[in-house]
Amino acid sequence: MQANIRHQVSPYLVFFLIYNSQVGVGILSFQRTIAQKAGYDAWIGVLAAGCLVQAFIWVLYKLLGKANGDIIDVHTTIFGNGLGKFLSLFIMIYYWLASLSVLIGFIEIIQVWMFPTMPSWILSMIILLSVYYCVSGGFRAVVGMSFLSFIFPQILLIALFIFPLKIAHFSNLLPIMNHSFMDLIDSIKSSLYTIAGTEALLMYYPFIRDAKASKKFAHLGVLFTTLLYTISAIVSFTFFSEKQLKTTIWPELSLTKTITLSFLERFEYLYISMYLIIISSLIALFLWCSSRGLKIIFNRKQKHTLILLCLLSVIICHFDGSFKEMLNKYIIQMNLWVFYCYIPLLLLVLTFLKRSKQNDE
Amino acid sequence: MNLKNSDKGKGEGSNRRTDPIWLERLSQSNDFVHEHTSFREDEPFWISYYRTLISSDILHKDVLPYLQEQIPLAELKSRIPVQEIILSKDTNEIIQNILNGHMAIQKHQSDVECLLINIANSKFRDVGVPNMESSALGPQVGFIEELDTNINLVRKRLPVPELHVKEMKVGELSKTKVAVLYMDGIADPENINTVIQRIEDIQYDHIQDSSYIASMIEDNSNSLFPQSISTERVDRVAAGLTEGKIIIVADGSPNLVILPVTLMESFIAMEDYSYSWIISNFFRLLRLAAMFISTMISPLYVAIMTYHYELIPARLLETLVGSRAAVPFPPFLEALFLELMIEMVKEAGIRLPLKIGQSLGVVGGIVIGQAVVEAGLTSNVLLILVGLGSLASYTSPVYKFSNTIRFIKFPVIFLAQWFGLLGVFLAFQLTLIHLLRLTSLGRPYLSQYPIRNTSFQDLWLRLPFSMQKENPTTLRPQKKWKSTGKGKKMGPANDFYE
Repeated sequence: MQANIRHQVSPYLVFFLIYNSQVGVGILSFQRTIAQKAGYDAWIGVLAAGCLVQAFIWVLYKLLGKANGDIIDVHTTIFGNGLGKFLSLFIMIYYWLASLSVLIGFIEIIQVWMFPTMPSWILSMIILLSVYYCVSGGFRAVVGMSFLSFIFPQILLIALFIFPLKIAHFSNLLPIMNHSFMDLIDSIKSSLYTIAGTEALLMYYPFIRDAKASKKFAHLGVLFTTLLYTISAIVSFTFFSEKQLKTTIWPELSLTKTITLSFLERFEYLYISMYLIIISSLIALFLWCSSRGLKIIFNRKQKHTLILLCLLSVIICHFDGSFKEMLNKYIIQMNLWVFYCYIPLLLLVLTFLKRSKQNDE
Repeated sequence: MNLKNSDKGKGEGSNRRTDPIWLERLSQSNDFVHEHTSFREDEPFWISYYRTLISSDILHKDVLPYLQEQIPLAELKSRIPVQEIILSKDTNEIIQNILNGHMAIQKHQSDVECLLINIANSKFRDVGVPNMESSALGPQVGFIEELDTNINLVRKRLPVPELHVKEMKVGELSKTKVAVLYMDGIADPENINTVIQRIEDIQYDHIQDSSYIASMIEDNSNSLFPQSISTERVDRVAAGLTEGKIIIVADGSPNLVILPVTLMESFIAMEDYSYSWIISNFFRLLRLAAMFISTMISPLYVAIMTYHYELIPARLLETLVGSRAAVPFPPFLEALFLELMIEMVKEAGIRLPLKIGQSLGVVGGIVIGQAVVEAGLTSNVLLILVGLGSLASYTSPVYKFSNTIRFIKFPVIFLAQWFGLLGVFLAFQLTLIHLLRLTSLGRPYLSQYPIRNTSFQDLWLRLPFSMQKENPTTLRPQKKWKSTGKGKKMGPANDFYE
């Protein structure tokens, strides 16, 4: 089922969508988590995870190309209407939870770094209000925000990598590959979650004009983010010692403190505020996916499902306690199992189904 | 010429004539004249007109001398040397035309049929220099309040049959003549139809200016951003037409409306094309930066001085804090007060007569500003910032847009007070989302997205004319190329002049 051509976007914009869906709060803190076991070799894990995501993109395009629609179409062709929609519901819940984990993570950063006394519900409300405004503008507005959130903050993101290099110790990275294979696997696993997000393609695929042509842009997008993450990891590794890295929760934010200009210092304030745009466009994309999915599954208006999801997010943000750790743990597991095991299996099943159908004819 | 006023005979019982409806309806006003060309009752020709609408010069020179003989109206029509003559029996048409400055000639007072002759007095100011959109270089011609003159000015610049004019009447009471101009074969027919359809759908008593129409037909009337450009510059209109834009002209308005437009066009001055492309690029970027400065500078001051003074290095912070030391208000009130004061001075400057306005500008800007600082109510630094911001808001060549900039900083100041830098970026983000959602005639308003090749040629940048070869694709023009030398470089090839 293809979307109306008026709502479709050009294939090259998939690059920005992929970039937007992959870069969230993770980039601020992943350096610590990946280095827990693999130490300074963890950047190899990021690159390896990037390769896995490239393969995943290939699987997604095969799957969606065969079904010529979104994940709900795939599910209903394989499992029928009832079961298919039931299974799709899980994916939609995943999207919502992913957006929620990003939101909670960002609110935590704001509260730690900028406004310690500001209540969570106010912060979540202002973010979700702008997200609602964006999503209610349709997919075009969501893609536009992805695009702009790439263009505007990119200058700062890249400038950030240049300043710490003046005092970098590249010898930190040597010797390369002195950790065991299992340690590397662990770093791949934790990077996989950090650069997760490409699965949003499962919902917006029908909205891409000439979707086949967009494949190369998707791969390019993943390549770009992989490189971004790798460089970010390398910069942090050359800047922090291994012990420092273990105790620094947001290495990337600590890095920004090294930037000083004659009229501006303590860049982390600017950096976090600017991150609002990146975070909001990411949440907008995921909530768009989720609310659209729920709209199709329950046959409701997208406006209503979106409001419901936003309200639930605000409430959970208000009462979050130990919820965040639990959420992150579940999402990491869900992401691994659903998207790296279940989706490839789905592709196999769909291929067999189509083949047997052709044989029957 | 002997004229006898017929009013004397009216009301007498002996007069049994039944006047046509139009005559009865029109003669209610005192400035309506209904006369007889001769004393004798059987002599021909009753004339009627509004004294205030017609030119007595034309009436006496070109019309009355022909009314001596007794000839049929149809023959009279071919004799009188005036361009617009209609023979009509339609009551509505007669009323309408007389109200627009025609005179009616009847054979007998009771005849419905009459000859309508256009002797309207069209006294308007001369075509002059554009007042609001001045420029140092380029043509110094601005539109005036008359529709025909305005269209004439455009036609002179584009003497091709492809320039089409569609005229309409809008307004229940004002019956304003509105014309839609477009280049046939360049403008997208969908756009043309949309504009004409929307204008035809307008139901409103009066149209005083083309801006009425602009805001009635725009896509989102709740937006701060003008989705069309009102201009009084002839060159801007002519250039827009050649790119496939649609122009709306309203009688009685010196501003023409250009549709559809994008955000960046508000930063384009026609003067840009008079300079070297490098210099005009610089000015375009300068105007863009000025918009950011104007909207962001006092909110940033509020945010930084309230929450994030750590952002400022110690040396600079000394200056800032030192200037604020005696100020008893929080930065938010200080900024709000000063911004409001500057806006008041500006507003008064616009409303006041020209001669007082100048001296008041000096009083408001310098004297009050200086006194406020000396009294310790605001800091010097903020005064500099606010002054800079208010100057910067006028760099946009489109007047409506500079008003948007003037307004938009107030909500941002509030957000900055509540959420600090986060609030400033929140405002930025909300504006971006709003701009993304905004359309002008259904075409995206924010030209940065989606990216078009042609936007680099002449929208965000202004490349040399040899590189501006395509019409902007956002308008979906039917004519792709501006320049006929498609792939070739114009001018001599650079081979070091062997």
